[in-house]
Amino acid sequence: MADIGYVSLLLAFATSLFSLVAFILGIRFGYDELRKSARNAIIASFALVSFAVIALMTALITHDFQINYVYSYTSTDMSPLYLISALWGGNAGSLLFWAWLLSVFGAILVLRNLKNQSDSSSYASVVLSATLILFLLLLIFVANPFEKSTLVPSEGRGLNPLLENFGMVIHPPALLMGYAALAVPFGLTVGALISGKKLGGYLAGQVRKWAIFAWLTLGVGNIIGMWWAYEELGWGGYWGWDPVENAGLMPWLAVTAYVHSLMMQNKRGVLKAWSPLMIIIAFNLAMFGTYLTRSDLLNSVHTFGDTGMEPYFLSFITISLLGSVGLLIYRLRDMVADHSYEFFSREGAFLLTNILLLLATGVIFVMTMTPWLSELVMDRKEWKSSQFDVIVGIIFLLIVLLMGICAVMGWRQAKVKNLGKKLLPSAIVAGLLCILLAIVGVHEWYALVFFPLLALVAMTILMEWGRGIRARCRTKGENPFEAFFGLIQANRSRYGGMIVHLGIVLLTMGIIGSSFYDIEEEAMLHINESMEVGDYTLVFEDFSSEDTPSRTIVTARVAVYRDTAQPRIAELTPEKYFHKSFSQPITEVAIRTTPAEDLYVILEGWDDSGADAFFRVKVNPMVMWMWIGGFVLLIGGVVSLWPNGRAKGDSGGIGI
Amino acid sequence: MRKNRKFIIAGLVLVVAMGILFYTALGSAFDSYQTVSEFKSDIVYDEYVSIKGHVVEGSLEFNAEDESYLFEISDKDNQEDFIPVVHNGALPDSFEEGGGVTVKGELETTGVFHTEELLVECPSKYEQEKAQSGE
Repeated sequence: MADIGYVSLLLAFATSLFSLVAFILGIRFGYDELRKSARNAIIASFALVSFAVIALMTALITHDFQINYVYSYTSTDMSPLYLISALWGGNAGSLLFWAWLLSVFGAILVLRNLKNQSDSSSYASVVLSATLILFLLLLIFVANPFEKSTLVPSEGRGLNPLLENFGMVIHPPALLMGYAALAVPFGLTVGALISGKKLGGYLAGQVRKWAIFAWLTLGVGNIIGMWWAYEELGWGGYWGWDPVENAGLMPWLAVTAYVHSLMMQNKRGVLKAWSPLMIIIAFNLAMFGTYLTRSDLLNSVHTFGDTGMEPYFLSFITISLLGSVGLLIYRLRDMVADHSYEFFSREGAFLLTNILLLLATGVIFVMTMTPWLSELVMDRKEWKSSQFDVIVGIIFLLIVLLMGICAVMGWRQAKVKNLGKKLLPSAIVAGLLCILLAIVGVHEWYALVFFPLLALVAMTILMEWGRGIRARCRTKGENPFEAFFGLIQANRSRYGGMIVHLGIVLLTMGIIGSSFYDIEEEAMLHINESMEVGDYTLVFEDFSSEDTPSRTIVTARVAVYRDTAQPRIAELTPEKYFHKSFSQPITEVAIRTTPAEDLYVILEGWDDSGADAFFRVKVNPMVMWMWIGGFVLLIGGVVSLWPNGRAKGDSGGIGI
Repeated sequence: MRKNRKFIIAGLVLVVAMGILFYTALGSAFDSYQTVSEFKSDIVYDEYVSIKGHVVEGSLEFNAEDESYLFEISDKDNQEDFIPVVHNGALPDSFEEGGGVTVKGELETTGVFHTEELLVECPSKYEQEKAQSGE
């Protein structure tokens, strides 16, 4: 198996190199036959990398411990689901998975453009082949997943039990998929820049879909990562501004800017130079993130350590950045906006949103790189995560505000009077909410600013939607229910976007609520003793320990009362697992989730008799809304990606 | 291109504003991560810093009275130079004696380091190290 896999990788390297050269020569000298064989080579690369993935998967499932990778990340007692997820659990495997996604997307790009092969899509294939070659080089020379040892161990080390969580099954593939999908719009953009041709209707539609797909998978991947950290890692938080976490966030912010800029470009023929810049930034940040995870450039808790890939990645990023930015500057003169517009207009608001997103990306990048940057001139410095919270939070606040205003702003030149009229009802609601919060006893300025702001944004979006429904009811005689779906059907991208924006509102609500109002208490309790946390009373009722063949499970039973005179509202069982094969214990947090708040109970320790146990209890407000927001965001993304059926009017086009 | 100029000015104002904000924050609180021996050679008290080290084997204790954990950290190859650490919070699952940690907080004049944040290397990294040392 190992040999088949390795040979497949070598062959894939050859076919990728061939497709790269053949495409360039084919375009340059107009040999269509050469282009055709280059296309075939791309399909062959896809087949060969798939072979390698199947080979590694087979080795993982059949416990071929002679292969070091299989030995290091799996064991015979693992369930099939986690055996498969071990494919992306380690450095070499996750690189192979990255390469495979790239080869899949490369093949899709070629197959979708079989009929109308343009120079732009050919150059895009060149870019994808070049990227694939980088990964194949790394897999062949630096981190070979098929490396064998001379001895055949009878049992593997197994996956760390901490990684045996559903998050592990979906979080890494989602992120990697987003990273790899960025290569396609990047490639098409570079292709358009090289060939000097506009990406017309058909390709423009593809670019949009790939961009939204990358945006969606990155976004959902990040949110699942947060959920995983919150549920499994037992520290009650979900985001720590670790360099590797930021590496997942930055391309997402950049691609968010890109998606919005593309929209302006398609609809209005403006921001023509801005869009290419955004995708260049997003793709290169994705490559940089992949590199960061595999280096010891920064002190992160998530990296694989120094893997010797630095020269490869840095050369690639340098070439791709200099090349694409150079091309953009070269073509800058041709990128003239079709329409002029006032700053105070929807176009202007979109540009401002884009600038803010770019700013957020830049700020996070500089702050993340601070330890490395500062070491060049003085002592190594680092930012506290609370400082990240404040600085990024302020920019985010402005972006959220614009999100609400954009939707009701007029094209080209907005009228203050019209805007005021449309915003007035939402502003009144926001104002009332602010007063209400103050009366209820909320005095923190951020809560008094953020929550009303979110209400304003949500109201504005919903009212815009309501206007659409009313209009449809009137003109088409539909009932509101029909009109609601008819509206989405008629303009998926617009309403998909609105759903996404509502998702962001919910997500932000959860983030604000949970970061500013958490309570934490810890106590050593004797059996039947109680502790009070916020409005809750917790009684430690029972302690037990159970041995299974693979692990010892220690369980504490805690009764939760809101009012001790009333019956209990919940019974929680925080646990700790001690796996026989792992030295680290696994904390299973017990969480009682309600829309208002989460009660988060950790069993930290106990004395040997089990009569005393040490608990750490947190009350995290509104966390549920983050996950709901993530789900709404997913729905919105899917709605706008759903095939439209009718051909889109070729209004703008991407590129030049 | 009057409008373009407007945009550029607006952008510049924004960048400058953020730059000033960034700069003020930069002055206020800032910490550096260093190894235990680097820190020991130039000790600062009551200042937020972060130190990277390894937990000394057999040093972990639980103090039931104030519900905190005590342990020592040192560089991997030099266990004589250590810093006693008090951690008032949950111990992450991946925390292990002998394992790599980064502590963020302040060294008190008593010579005990109080953490505000405790980072433990991720399981993926830990596995990697183990795999490398095992060969």
